[in-house]
Parts: sequence; C-alpha cells; structure tokens
Amino acid sequence: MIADDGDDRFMKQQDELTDLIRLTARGDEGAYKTLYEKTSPRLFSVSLKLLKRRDWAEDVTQEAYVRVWYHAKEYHTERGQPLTWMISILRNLAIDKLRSRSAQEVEGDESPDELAFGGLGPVKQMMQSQSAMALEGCIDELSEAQRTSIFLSFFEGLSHQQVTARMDEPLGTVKSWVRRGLQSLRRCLER
Amino acid sequence: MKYTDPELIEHLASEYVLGTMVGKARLRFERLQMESYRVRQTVWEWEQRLYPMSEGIEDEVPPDSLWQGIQQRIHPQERQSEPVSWRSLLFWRSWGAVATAMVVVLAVMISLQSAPPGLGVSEDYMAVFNNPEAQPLWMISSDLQTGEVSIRAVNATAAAVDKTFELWMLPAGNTAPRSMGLMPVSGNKQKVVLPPALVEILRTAKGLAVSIEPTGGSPTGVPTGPVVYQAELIAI
Repeated sequence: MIADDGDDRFMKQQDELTDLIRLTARGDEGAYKTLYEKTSPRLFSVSLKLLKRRDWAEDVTQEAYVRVWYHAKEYHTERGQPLTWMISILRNLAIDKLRSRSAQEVEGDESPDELAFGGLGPVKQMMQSQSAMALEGCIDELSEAQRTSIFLSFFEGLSHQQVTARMDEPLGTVKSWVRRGLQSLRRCLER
Repeated sequence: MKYTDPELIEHLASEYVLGTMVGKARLRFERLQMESYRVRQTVWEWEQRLYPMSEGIEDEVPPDSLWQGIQQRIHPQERQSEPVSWRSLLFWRSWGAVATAMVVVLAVMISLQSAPPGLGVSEDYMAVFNNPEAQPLWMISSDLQTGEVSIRAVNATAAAVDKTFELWMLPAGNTAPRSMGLMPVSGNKQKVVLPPALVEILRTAKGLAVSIEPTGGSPTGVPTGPVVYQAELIAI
C-alpha cells in the first residue's frame, strides 16, 4: 500500500534523525551538519510561515539550531519524533518573537489590508506521515469556523485576540471554536 | 486555579502548543511545566498531535548565510577580527577588540536620576530564558523608571567549575552587547540597578542574551564565550 510505504520511509527518516541527534550530542559536527541539511528546509519554512519576515525567520531558525547543538543530549523519545522536538524548539522561539515588543511594534504599523484574512496558503498538502494523515482526517471533521481559527493560530501564530480581529467574530466565540476544535481533534485522534 | 484537574491541564497544554496562550499565562504555564512532569508530558502529547500539521507547509531551503551564522555561534573562539558587525539579535559576530574592562556587574549601584516620564507605554519589561524544553532558567524583570533589574534563577545550574553565566543586553543598531552583570544560579535572586545611560539603551534593546564566561565575568567587556541563551524583551 502506498500509504504504508510512505510511512515506512517517514519512520526510516526519523530513525536516521534520531541517530544524527545522538551523534550531535557527542559533539560530532559532521552529523550536526547532516542534521541541519536534512531538517532546515522544514524548520525554516515553519518559521517563515509564522513570522512572515525573512530576517526574523532566519534569526529564529539559527537560534533553534544553536539550541539543538547545545542541548542535543536532552532529546529523548518521549518528546516524540526528532522533528517534533526540533519544531517545538523553533515554534516556542518564534512565538516568543511574535509576542515580543519589537514584533508588536511592527504589527501596529501594518495596514489593515495586510491583516485581512489572506487564505492559508499551501496547508492542504499534508500527506506524509501516518500521523499527519490521521490528523488531516480529523481536521476535516471540524466545522469550518473551528478549522479556520485553529489554522490561523497554528500557522500564523495569532493569539485569540488577533484571530478575533481577522475573522471579525466576538472573542468568546473564537475562544470556544478553538477550545472545542482542539477537544474534537483529541477525541478523534484517540479513536 | 487548580492545576490538578486533568481536563484543565489538557486544555492549557493544547492552547500552549497551538500558540494561542500568550503573555503572563504563557509564562505561568512554562513555570508549571517545569514543576510537573505530567504537565510536560501532556505538552509533548499535544506537540505530537498538532505538529504534523506543519507537514502541510512547503519546505524552503534557508540561505547559506544561516549555516555560517550557526557555525559562528557554536565556535565563538574562532571569530576573526573583522569589522564590528552586529546585524541582528540572533547573529553574533566579532566585535573586534572593543574591550573596556567592564568586569562583573554594572550592578555597581550608580544612583539614578529620576527617569523621564513614560509615554503611556509600559515601562516594565520582562524576559525569560528557557531551555529547549521551554522550562524557564532565569526570569528577568526590569522597571525602566527606576532602572531596577531583577534576575531570578528558577532552574539554572552553574555553568562549570570555573565558568559563570553573564547577562547582556543587545542594543538596537550595530553596536556591541552591554553587560548587565552575572547571572545567579538556582534559587537565587539578584537585583541590579542600571545607570541611566544603560536604561536608555535597554529601552530600545533588541533583546537579552547569556554567554558563558570565566569566573568573574568577561575580561574584555564583550562576550568571549559561547552565547548559550537569548530572550526577547516583553512589555508587561
């Protein structure tokens, strides 16, 4: 089956990344460079999608890799796949950046046009790992409003307030869409 | 709030991972993660649930300069003396021999003139240095009116036997970092009062950073060891 082959390949990649992280933890710079080459297009694209500005995306991606270098020995499988751990480092840095004073100031300068809901870009091509396919199936079960508010939060790093402004709906409504949407996802994924 | 309710923890973890949890709530929750294994585990589970969404974003190869920047960060001792360059918050380069021996702490109290009145903007900034598990190591809060900076070591252990962590502010523009003093370790608190000139720099600073230095702090007044943590300044 095609899906199984895809997932096999995905798991193999993850095993390879686990080995690279282990070697990185021992100070193996060759392994670290390979890890960077294999994962940086993914991390950079996530960073770019969240932060929009290339300079910020580059800075945050760089910082994430410096942390991977210094903290590789802290990775353990309970954190999920290696890529999950790395994306977690990156996303937390990117979210801090988005909420920082300097980013807020820039945000204030943005024209309302730029803040208008601009679609979600190529988020519909998720189809690699089994977990992504399962998640996609569950996302399809959400209401349109739940899906949009979750996508805006996840991909664009918007707060409830910002989602409220984009979707032009009351804060309480947006909050409950997000909350209920997340609950449904969890229930669906546990099925 | 009761943090023993599993449904509440699920909810908080999900909003944290999604990114909708902001400001003080986010900081509080990071604190909670530090204290509770179960909370951390719940966060990890949500990461594994939601992050596959990122597979929907088309990969983009970063520019070569990014890898070079990383190399410079992990090999700080190999910096060559090039022209002073301080491109951005996260891009550490050589500052040449700027060196004014600004050893240890600018905490050396220089009494303050009264700070200029605020412009209706928040005068309190805070920054949190997290480890990659998003657990806070140090929390910094500063009051620009008084120049008071307090540094609380939440979960930070000593760098090494003969090493110490030093705190730096990263000025706007292309200028070298300015020392804000040495970092306390685990459970300790430290108060620093910045002189007005440094308060002004902090007002527009791009962020804070921590480097590993010999005991007593950088002998040159600029970071000499690896820059291991950076944090944004958040207005509160």
